[in-house]
Amino acid sequence: MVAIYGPMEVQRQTKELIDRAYIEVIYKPRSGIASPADKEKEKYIKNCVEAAILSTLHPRTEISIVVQVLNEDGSIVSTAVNAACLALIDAGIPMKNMIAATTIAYLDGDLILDPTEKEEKESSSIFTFAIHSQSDGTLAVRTKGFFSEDEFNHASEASQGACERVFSFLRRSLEKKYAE
Amino acid sequence: MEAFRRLYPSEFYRKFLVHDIRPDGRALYKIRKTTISVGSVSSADGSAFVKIGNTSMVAGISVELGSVPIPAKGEEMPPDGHVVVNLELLPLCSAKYKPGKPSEDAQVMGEYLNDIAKTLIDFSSIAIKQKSETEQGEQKAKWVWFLNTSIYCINHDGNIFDASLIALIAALKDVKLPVIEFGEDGEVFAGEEKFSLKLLHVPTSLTFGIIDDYILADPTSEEETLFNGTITVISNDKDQFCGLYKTGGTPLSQESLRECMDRAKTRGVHVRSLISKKLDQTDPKQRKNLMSP
Repeated sequence: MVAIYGPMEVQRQTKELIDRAYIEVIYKPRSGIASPADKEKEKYIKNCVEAAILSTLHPRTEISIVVQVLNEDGSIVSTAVNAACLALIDAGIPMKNMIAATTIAYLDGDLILDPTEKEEKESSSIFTFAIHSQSDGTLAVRTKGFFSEDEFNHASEASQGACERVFSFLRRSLEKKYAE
Repeated sequence: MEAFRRLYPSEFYRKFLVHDIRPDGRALYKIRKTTISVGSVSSADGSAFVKIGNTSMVAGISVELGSVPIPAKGEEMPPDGHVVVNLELLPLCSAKYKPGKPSEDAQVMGEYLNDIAKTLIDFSSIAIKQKSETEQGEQKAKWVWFLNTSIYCINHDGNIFDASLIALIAALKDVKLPVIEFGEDGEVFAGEEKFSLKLLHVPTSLTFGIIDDYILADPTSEEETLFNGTITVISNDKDQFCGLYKTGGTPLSQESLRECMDRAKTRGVHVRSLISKKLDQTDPKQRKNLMSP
């Protein structure tokens, strides 16, 4: 679940930026406190959405994106990015374009999309790709495990198709909500 | 000119980039001079000092034994050893970092280094042979290796991650572990014989930054402030990639990513030969005993 707060007054004065909004992502795991691994996820999510938000429209403010994990069964980071994109649109934060992310894993040489936690544990490599709706090309990617150049290229191509599906899902959800 | 550089850094840089060159005279893909020195920290069991241009990192490894409880039957046995990496980015190295809790950079890069560190050593091959089980019946706990690595930045002039990874690998190759022997009452002490670690693979990385449509390899800290995105590619000697992190706001095409991956591979070959040359040169030194007072 993703909650958006903002644009609001900056909580920590040192973070205030004079020409744009300061975007903060807080990732909260299901139980326990955030670990450095969660910090890495926060940075990835922030990188994905930062480019899409028109932060220069709200200088000296903060936009806070809080990601709360309710249930974890694989592909958590790409789910968080997609949820964050929808939440930002729902909050009315001005955005240039939409972001979609997918997770791809290689398990025994086979490419699988959107792996579960069990599949992730057994796979030789996991990729999380993010692209934005206005151009082809990879916006952000993070990997775990070992892979060859070919595997990476196949995964990258597969992610383009998969992200298109995510975009149509995002559009359908928004149309449903605003049709009333 | 200096005033222009300070007041309008992006414009200053763009004037150079148009001619495919950077203010320090490097071509867009040229990497700064890299030097490695091992065994410089005598109080550590393994150490390395790496410089890429002006960026300097020191890695020190201290080898310890820990007692880990053996879980009940049916559960997985805990691993025979751990490499724990702690990356410290102190105010010493750059004005960016304030004292207090670790910065975001340190935590995120530390996380990447830990992910790599987990894959480097096969601890089961150097597992400590425990005291024979028949004497004591059920074994409650076993001794495992802990290789605590601290990587400190001495000077931050961009591209900390590449230098940290080289320092980690060189320090691990420098470490000499003692053969562990057990006394009569079960106390543990380090024998005289020492052995080196054999790494499962040797990863190296290359970090790039993106300004507009230009991709620059091995950025300085001044360049890092101007980037819209960074890419770090980690490749190893087994012709595999073990990490690719692209952050930031500009999407990259397949060809650009492929180009970065190729350059990272070439860089890897160069760095690995540097590390082996350095390790061959260093004389084997006396190391302190694990349990000595």
